[in-house]
Amino acid sequence: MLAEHRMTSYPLRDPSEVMQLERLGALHQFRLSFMRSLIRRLMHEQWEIEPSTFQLDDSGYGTVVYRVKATNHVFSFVLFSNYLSDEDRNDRVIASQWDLTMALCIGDLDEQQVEQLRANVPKQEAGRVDANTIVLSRANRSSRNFEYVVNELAAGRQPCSDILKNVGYLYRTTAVYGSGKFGMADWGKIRSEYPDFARPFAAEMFTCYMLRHFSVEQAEHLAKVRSPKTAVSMNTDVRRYIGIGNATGLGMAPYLIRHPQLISQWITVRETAIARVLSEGQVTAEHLQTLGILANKARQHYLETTVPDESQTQRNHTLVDELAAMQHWLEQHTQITGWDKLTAHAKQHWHMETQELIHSLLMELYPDLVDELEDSMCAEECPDTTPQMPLGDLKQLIEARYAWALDVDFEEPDAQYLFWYRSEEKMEPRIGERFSEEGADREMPLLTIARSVRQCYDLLCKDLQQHPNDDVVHFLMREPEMKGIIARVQTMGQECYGDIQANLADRETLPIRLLRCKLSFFGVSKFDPKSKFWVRNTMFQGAPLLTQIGEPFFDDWIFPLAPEQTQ
Amino acid sequence: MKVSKNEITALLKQVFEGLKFRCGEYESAADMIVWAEMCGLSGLLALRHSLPYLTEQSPPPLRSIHESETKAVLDANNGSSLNCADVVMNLAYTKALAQECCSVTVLNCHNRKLFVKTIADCGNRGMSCLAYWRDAIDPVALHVVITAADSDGMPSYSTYKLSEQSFIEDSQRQSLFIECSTKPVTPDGPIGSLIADGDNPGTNVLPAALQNNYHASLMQGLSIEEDLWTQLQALAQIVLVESSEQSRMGAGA
Repeated sequence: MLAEHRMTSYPLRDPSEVMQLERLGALHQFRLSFMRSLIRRLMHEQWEIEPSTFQLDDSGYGTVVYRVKATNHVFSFVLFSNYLSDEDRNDRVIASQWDLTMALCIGDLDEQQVEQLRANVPKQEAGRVDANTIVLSRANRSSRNFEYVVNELAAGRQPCSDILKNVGYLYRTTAVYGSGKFGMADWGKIRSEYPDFARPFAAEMFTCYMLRHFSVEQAEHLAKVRSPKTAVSMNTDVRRYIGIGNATGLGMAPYLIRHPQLISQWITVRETAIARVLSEGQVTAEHLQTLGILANKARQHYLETTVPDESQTQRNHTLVDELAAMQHWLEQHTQITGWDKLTAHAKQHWHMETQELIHSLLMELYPDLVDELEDSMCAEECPDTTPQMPLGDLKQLIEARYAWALDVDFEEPDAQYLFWYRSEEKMEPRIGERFSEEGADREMPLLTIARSVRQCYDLLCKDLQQHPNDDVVHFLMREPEMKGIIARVQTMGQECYGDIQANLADRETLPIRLLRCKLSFFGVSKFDPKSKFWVRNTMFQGAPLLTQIGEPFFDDWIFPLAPEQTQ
Repeated sequence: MKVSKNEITALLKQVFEGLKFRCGEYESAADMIVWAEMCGLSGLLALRHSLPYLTEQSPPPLRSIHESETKAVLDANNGSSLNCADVVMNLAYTKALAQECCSVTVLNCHNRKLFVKTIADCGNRGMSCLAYWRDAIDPVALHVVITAADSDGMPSYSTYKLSEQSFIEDSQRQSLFIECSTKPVTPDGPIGSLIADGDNPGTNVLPAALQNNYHASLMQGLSIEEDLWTQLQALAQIVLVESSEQSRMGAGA
């Protein structure tokens, strides 16, 4: 355990445990996930969201603008719905046409602005927007589900739960861009001037939330067009069970390596929340009962999660079984005074996914200890060299914080088997096999931290023999190639959790674990791996509806369950 | 056209990566240009001028000509400040930290205006700094940058007219002079006289003006000429790998 960190006085788990890629790839959504924080904010602050333009033709194509009156500013969410043939419907990042394209913009929009957006938003990466735009995104229909739901509503029936269990959304988003891409507003602008979205990925999550709302409105619109006399609206329970599909690929993986201070901050906040619960969470009969209810809900949720991937299916079964084992253990230990006994038992007997799921469950019990941390998710990202550091201290720092990297034997071909590069197709990140594919000469630098640390350490040890009393800046004058990795080591050496402890060039690397880590902070559910490179998942399933803003809000939408079938 | 800070920074990193800047160097080079542009110091113009000289060969490292505890003279080998500014300022900072003050001279260095960000960063580190250099094109113009400790990262930037009998000789036309101190830097000698000379037709941009420019750029985006944007995008292609069926197998969603 780390003795203490500046952010907390609670004992935190050690980086060697937390920053393993396998564990990061076992994280689940939790109270501080960005979707959860966003929903709490707009529910508590009662944002007012109404369509200001709703121009859809009888085929559901057209333009829709929602006016979003948040606490501090007004925003506009603009959607363009266009015809897309089935053969052009492609979730890959290299696609060039989509069913829906959309943008989240600052302020009210006049006609000229909407026209400007209409000329560019449908082009996505090939278009240009301005600093008034915060998010650019697109989505494709889940063709079978969408048609099915429209037909059912048109016939006066609610969609069948069993079908929605398999695919719990009408649209899949394939990219959500923010942070200044294609001329949009920089994150620095949003963070300093627009507090409604001044948390990481808050605007991006909101865009997906609005897409979810529109997807149902569009389906209802089409049902009414098709059969005005028989069409019905979607029941609230069914509507809540509709989420947004998401396909996330390798593009997200380099982000975690390139923003190490931010990722370390997210992990630190999550670990702080866990530590608070383990240190201060009183175990009462009420807490035990609530945990039991949550565990039952989680088990049912994973039972209802059907994915084609056998490995993920097995992991879901393991979760269900081990949650049952947890409940059995709790029945035998009703007198425990702290949750540390449960987590210690879990660490010894159950899988990592279960261990981390238990952490997510425990955090649900103590919103008073956890929720205030949601404003600590931002980080000032300023990698910096400490040039005056004696070389001996740098060597010690590497040995202390990067022992995991020094443990890798780079003489083994498998340790350098993979290389990461950018493809000329939309600059998409890809992974190649070093010994059989072209392009290793254009490997993305600094993604393979472990190898860079090893190179730096070897040079440093050699240099120290000749310059035992020298400092970092003089080493850098002799070895300028080491500038990047030294700044990295010195910067991350000050962070609580530091770098992700994995050699991403290793033949056995599973990039999907990086995606899973980031997606857990987003707050997605129903991981559906399609390969070791990309994963489908569901966003906002079970979340409160726009129409429920202003009603009593219970922040209990984790582990959504299929609604009971009603007509 | 307008671009965001993030996208021009990302593009420049990729450009410099393709031009074989070293890891760590290409990030700071991009930051130096974007920061200067946002502050109104024509970072993109400096980039435009420097592009013809940036080749796909890693520049030679800085060479130390002379070094003592409080002084250093370095040779940039006709390289750009984009490649060496960080190390130069780190050396100045380290010496000043140990000895309270120091001076560093850099010879044969181009694009010296882009040093300004690293000089400003000294203030963020709690160090005062004065830097000056003679203009490469207009030989009677002297550029002076002063940053105070804890100055929120913004220096003052001034230009003054040199007399024909300048204290910077013609042979030092490509040099940069830096003084770094743990105490406030008070310009004296010829620089002090220049600054004190009320008749000198210089210009003076105060930290607040730089800050305002930076903020406006962050809010509205940066202006860049389309031909430069196109040129940078073409240069950035160097790091991309052509697609094949096999490479598509290694793709995500």
